[in-house]
Amino acid sequence: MKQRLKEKTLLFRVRTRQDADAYAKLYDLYVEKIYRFVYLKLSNKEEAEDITSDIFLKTWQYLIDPEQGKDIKSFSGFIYQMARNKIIDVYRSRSRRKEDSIDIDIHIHIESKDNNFEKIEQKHDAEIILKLIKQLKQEYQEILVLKYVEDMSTKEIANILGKTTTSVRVTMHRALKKLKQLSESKK
Amino acid sequence: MDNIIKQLKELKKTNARSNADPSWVLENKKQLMLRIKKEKEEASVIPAYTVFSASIQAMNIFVSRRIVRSIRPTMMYMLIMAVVFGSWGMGVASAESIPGELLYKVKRAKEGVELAFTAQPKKSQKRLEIVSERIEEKKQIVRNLSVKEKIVEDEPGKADKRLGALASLDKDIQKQLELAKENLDQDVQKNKDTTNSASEQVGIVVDFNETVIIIGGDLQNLGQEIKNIVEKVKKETNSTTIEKIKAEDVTQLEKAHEAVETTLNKVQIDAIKKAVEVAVSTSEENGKKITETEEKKVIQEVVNLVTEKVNTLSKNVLDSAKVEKIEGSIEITKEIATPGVTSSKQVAEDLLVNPLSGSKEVKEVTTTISENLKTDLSEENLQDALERLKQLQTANETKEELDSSEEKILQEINTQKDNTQNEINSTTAQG
Repeated sequence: MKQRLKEKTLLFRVRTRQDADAYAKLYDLYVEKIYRFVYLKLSNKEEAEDITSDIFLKTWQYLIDPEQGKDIKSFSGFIYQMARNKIIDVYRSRSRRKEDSIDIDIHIHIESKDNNFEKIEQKHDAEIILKLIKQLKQEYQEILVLKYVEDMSTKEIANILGKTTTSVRVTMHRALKKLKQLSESKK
Repeated sequence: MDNIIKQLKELKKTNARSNADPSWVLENKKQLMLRIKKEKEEASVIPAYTVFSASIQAMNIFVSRRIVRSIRPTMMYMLIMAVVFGSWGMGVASAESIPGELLYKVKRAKEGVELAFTAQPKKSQKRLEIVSERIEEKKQIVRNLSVKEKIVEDEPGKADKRLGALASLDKDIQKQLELAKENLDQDVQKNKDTTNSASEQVGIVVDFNETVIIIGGDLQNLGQEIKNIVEKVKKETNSTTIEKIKAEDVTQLEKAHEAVETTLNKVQIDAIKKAVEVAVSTSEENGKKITETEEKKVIQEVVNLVTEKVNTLSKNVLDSAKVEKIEGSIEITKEIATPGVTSSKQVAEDLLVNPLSGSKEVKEVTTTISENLKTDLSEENLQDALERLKQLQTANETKEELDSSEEKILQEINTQKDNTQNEINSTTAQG
């Protein structure tokens, strides 16, 4: 609640005073989440970094525009929406280039010091689950990432995706079910 | 299912690549801030947010849509109540405001609306109410002007502003009085269309005159206060406390006030003439000569109006006489009485120069008033004028009594005549 109020106050400052310091604080709050959200979809570090930079710049430009940004109620809702749109743009350009980039960079780097068996096994599991997630449709992917990776509440996800909480819960249940089916069929 | 959820939750920890590089996060932030700064510098005009637009933004950001939707009916109701009670409250709050104050424009706008919604034949009365309000405002400013301490405390130029406001009020009072006269003509015409009764038609003018008399009294009292200030300023010209009000400015104030009183008197003369005209013309239009009763009624009204005026003057003279005993100055007494008496003379003389049609008695009354007033300005003569008017009223009443007595005598004679005739008849029958 406190975090939510803080975010709203910062958004108000950006909207009414074009406060760059307030925007810097919003950046700190969201940069990692947005990067991860983009990376898990694109699976390319450099591309994820470029896209994330672009998302934050475009979001600022949008927020300071009195006409464009007047209906923005939530920063998180808006920036995730911006991220989704950017990702869609990337997919489109990729499909034009006929590149199959889905599995470009999905591999787990096993650092030299992480050589115990348990950790290797965990990373292997993560690699598998990521591959499985990639096979789900976009909507399911987003909900699972936001819910279990970013640890967001159903209400927050509903806010980001512009859906009702009931709809999010139903979609989440279906996404998990589908993921389980895929997992079992792999075995 | 639990295993899948567990694996999903572990993703953030186990997949190092899915976490942003801290050095990139910092560098990107630096770049972003530089870009923002540059864009802000390049933007020639930064849109200014008003309190209103900021409030809308705050509402949009801090209040959820669901809450807005659920409280919308309540908000509508509250908005309506705010408009209704807000305008009512504003009206109440602005009622006592004077020129230069924040709510004064609200007060004037409210008056304008009220006047626009006042139907004839009540418009002239409404206009006089406005005049009365202006005089009240003038009184307040004059009183502020006369408080020595306030002048000292005030910032430079405030006294000048007050004098400016007074001049503006004087102009407005005169303008409103002229408009009231026009409204009276319209009201009379409107009333004529709806009623044939002479007394009802005269009634509207009589009401107007009574209000004018009250306003006249207020103006006279205010004139007195202004004179006191003039005296005070003249006495204290060397004092540093009063230097912010110049003597010539206050003298100008006095002259302007006299001009207002003259306008009021002119309006009163016209109204008195109107009262008689209306009564006479109504009777003539009804196809009959003005009846004695109606004629008497009109005369009575005129007498009452002028008597009132003379009474006020006499009272002022008597009050001044008391002041005279204390301060020992007979000159002030005469000075105070002068404008009022002069205006009464104008009333009477105007009626004399333009004789009113259809009634000899009206002319006689006005001649008497004029003769009584124009002799001189002494208290004795004013009292004499009053006495004569009272005698005239008594004479009218006596005449009415005589008329009724005459009727009674005639009735008695007729009764006796009938009785005698009956007796003669019965005697003849017996015989």
